[in-house]
Amino acid sequence: MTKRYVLVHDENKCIGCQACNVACRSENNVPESVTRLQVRIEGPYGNFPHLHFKYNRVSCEQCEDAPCVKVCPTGAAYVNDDGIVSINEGKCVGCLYCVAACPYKVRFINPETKAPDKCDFCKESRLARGEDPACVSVCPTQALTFGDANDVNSEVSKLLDTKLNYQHKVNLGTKPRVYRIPSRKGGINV
Amino acid sequence: MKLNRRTFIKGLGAGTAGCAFATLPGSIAALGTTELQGSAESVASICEMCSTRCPISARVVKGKNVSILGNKKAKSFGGAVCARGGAGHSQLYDKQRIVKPLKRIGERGEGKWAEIEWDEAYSIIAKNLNKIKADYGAESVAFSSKSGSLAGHLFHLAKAYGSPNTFTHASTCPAGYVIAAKAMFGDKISRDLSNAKYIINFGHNLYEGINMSETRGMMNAQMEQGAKLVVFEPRFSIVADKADEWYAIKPGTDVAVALAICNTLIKDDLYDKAFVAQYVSGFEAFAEEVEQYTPEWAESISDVPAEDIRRITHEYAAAAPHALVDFGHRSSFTTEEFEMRRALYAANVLIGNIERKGGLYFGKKAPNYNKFAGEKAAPTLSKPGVANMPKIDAKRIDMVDEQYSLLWSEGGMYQSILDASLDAVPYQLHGWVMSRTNPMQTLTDRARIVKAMQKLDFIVACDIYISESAAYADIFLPESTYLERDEEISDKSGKNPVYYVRQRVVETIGDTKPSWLIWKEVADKLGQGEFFPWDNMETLQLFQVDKDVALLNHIKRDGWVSYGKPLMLREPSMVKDFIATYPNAKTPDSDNTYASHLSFKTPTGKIELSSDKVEGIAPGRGVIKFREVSMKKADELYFIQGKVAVHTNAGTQNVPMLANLMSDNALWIHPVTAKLLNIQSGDAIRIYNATGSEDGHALVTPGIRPDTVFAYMGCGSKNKELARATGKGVHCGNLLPDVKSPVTGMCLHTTGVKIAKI
Amino acid sequence: MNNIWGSMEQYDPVVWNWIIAVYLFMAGLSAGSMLVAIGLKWYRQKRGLPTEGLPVIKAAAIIGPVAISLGMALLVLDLTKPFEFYHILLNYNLTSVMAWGVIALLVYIPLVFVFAALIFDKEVLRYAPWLAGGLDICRKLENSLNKLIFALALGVGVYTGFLLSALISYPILNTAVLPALFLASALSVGSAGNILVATLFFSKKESDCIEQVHRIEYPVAFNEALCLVLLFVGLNFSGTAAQAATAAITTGAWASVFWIGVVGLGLIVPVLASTLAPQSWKHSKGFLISVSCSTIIGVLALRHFVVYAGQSYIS
Repeated sequence: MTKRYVLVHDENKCIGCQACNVACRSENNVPESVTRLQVRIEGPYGNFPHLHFKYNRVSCEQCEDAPCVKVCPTGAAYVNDDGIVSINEGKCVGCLYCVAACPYKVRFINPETKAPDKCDFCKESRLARGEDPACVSVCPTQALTFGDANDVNSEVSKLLDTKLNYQHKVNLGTKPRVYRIPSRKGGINV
Repeated sequence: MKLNRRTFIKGLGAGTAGCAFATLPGSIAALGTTELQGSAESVASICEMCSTRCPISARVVKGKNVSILGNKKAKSFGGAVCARGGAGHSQLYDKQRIVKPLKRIGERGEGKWAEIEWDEAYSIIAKNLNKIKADYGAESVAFSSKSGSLAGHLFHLAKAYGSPNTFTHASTCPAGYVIAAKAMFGDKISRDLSNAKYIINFGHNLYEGINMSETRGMMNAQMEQGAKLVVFEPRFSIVADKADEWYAIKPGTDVAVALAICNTLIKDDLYDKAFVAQYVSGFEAFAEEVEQYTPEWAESISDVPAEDIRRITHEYAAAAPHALVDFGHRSSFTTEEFEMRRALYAANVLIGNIERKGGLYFGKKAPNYNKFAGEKAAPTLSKPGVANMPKIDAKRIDMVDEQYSLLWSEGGMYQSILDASLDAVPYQLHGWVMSRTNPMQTLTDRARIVKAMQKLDFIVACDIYISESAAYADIFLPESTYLERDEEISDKSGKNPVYYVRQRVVETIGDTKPSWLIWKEVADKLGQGEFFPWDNMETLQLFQVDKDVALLNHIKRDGWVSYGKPLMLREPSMVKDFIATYPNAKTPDSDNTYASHLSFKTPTGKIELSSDKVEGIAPGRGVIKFREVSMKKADELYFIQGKVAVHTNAGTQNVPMLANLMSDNALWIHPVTAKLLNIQSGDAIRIYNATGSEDGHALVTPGIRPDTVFAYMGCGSKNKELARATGKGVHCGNLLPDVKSPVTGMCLHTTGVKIAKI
Repeated sequence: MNNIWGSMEQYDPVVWNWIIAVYLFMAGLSAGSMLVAIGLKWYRQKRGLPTEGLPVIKAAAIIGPVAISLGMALLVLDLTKPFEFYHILLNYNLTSVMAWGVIALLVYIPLVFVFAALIFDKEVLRYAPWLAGGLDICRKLENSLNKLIFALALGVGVYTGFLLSALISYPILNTAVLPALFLASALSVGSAGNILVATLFFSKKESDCIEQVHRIEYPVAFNEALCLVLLFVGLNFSGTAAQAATAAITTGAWASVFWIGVVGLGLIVPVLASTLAPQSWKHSKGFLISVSCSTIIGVLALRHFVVYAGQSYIS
């Protein structure tokens, strides 16, 4: 595995506008009743007037040690060579074990394919064409940065080296590849 | 216990499909599915999901979807597109979109429609409009349109028909700051947020009411330049969250804080005396008036601590001239908008940030830019004029008071349609032709609008959905969406000239037409075709570029053509770059700027901090002054509204992808207030006042003042044709009283309400 | 802040529903009844007592195959792609507990049918005389087969627990006690099921052995209770999320299910019934049916409680 694709979400720049949510749906033809991505604006937390929101991007964390892959009985859930947690719909029987196992609850059953679905960094479409994932491309405030963390000169490497960042539920040992730059107000509330 | 989640998801899908109006006449659903045909190659165009009109790049994907991204050529837009822009295709082939002309067959607003052919629609329109003209005169028909690229075509029809009564949505939204700018600077002015080091913001919520280049500019200033942002807003909005300091100011008292800032700038000797001496007229009268507006005084009115106002003013002055007070956008907070927006401008003028980086500046359109360059740095566009247009003697219906004269050419006072329709003030209206406008939601006092529409003889609505207002029309004309239209080249000049153009991305779905064609064909039927001498859009485009096909193709290919370097007349580094680019450029002043060339289109040629002209049209208002206003009764709560990032006012609530994100607007209530009223989040509540009553849901949150409640505007439609939006949430327009603010003629979006649990 | 990001229904942490709870119950019932029956057989063989025609063993021969078949049918029907079920038989990801479960069940299910066929050999041969040869071979291997079934039944009982405890983000599920709890409750529902079916269909007063089966109820109930105590005490020492999950037995509808169903019907009623009921009742059909039904409902409640409450608290 030469590449290590990661996504960095800067909660200071994110305004929760859902441009990513919509772009993802359009790019990946995600059916109306489900979604691969949403940014929840949680809060406000804190005490008046020192309030703050948390901008919580909810999408596949692309765990290096992915519980969904571990529990899948048939190997339909697998980690691709590029490190992206992927789904082989042909092998899937739809037991929902992966959906239940995902600590981030970001896998869902696609009502059209009846197989689990989730963010794959647009690997089939945009990544294959050498473009950034749709959410990264459209983000109005450039809150998202995507790239190969194994490349020390990449934008993401620089961000992770220079900015305070955290990941969700690291205590579970999943090693998520979505990194978050916490809001300068209020700090981290995982 | 919970439902099986999979049955639920299946049910949800079926539910949304099931509640669709399978039989709504003229809808895509009624006409059957159509193939999506269009360019698989990216086409540069212009978005129309809101009025910002961002440059986009769109293409049809596999015949079933349209990928819409930002046009990367437009640097300040950065290739970005917001949720609404990205959902454009969802509107395009929404099954509930109307794609066939309709004729009302029931009572007005009853929701009974029959499909008709275009020719029949035009015949009915021509018959009725010509009859009204014969019986009462052409002026008794009002024409209103969302301001924008094609509004001009409708207004041209109005002129050809002979009516002076043309209206945009101006008095419901932006006119306040435009009128104030015209009074002070003689022209509209822009803000250079991206280069600002210090930004004072009075509830201009750029992080929810997204204006792509300004939103990006402000975020860039904050995150990359380390700019400080101070926000005064009654609600903890996203922009308040991103601010360095947030003050929950009392609704409608922004003017007091703005005046206190001016007071401090003058009293503490922080203002730019040289700038004031050179460019400002009426400073003394202003300074004298403002002397009483101390921060302590402002604190007693606004709840913003005096020491903070003073400190913020000092910080602001220290960052001058690369600092600004944002003059806002939607200017219907109070009836004293004119004073408020002028006070905000004054706080900019005093630090001399005009035509400086991070300050305010005037758009540099090609003719002006070329003069400085000493050469044709950018092509200029021609405007088609039509000879022998009929002379209109009748006065506009909003010409009831001279004080509104600044508004007459800026979209007019939309509310005056109601007075004229219901009370014949100043004379009786009989007809209304509306295009892409939804006054039932965006204006105020919905019940009064219903009455007005019931009373009129004939109403035509052109839109893509049967909006709440279109539901009361006699004839509904389905317009092609922006993805199916070509339009004239638009001037998007900022600090340098820029042109861009809207182009068709997909073949027209169903039987719709672009509104420029609709109004041309209506004119033909009315017998006024001679005033529409162009055959098609390309004729108009070629006229604009003086038949320079290469230029037209360039603009079409790139979609965004920017000329030269950004220029701010008083910014030495920019003037230096400019001169280096253009050898024949005007010689700069000794300080290496074009400061001596900065002039204002006011009677004095200066910035009129106090204005005799204004005193003339509105006695007592020549000098900016604080007046107390009461917007609610003592036992009521302030009711304020705002924009949400996923909807455009009341225009997108029925777009499937956006309706899916949010279709309800719970009312924000402070925990203390909620406790007194025994209300918890999610409770059903009634919001009521003398104007109307609405049922909705509560959202208890500390992000709002205890004396104020808030709702995102645009929800709660009451017509059944908007199946995804109808009956969901609070209809704000139904609670707001019909008001005309002095001078600006703005309607009012703050009022008092009572809340009760139901 | 208003929700402007769309429906959150798909993020419901409760992914598996009552069908899975019933499947887990059925698997436990099948495994438990086999364990009890084979255990009883060995117990009596050791003491030189006859094992032929024992009602409890007959009952197990019914419950064992029927319960697991019903459970499997439910499981397959619950798949989002039931007609592509065969993929799970062709592809094995050995890091998955479920894959191991499939392997165990693939061997276990045919063997319980063999077990049943050997018990009901006369009936089987009446309808399928061509099976005589096969049955003969099996009969010769019966002792080994029983050992194998016993081991597999243990595996199946434990597997249903591990299936859930592999879900690392649910504190109530992600614990090593769960497989033990499920095994204990499998034994208790297995014995109760055997008694119920035996009493209803096979019992002849004089040689029913129900007494012996009854006797294991105390230790099983004790173990089950111990597992539950360990589970919730353990949660208290496993961080805030786990601590929060202890609310499962104090608040909400599932707390009622726990105290009334799991503890009340599943543990207290059978234990009190055995200790306090007058001797004269103890062999009455009504008493046996009531008490075993109580246990069965208690275990069914336990499976539901673990599935639903377990998924409701996510770390």
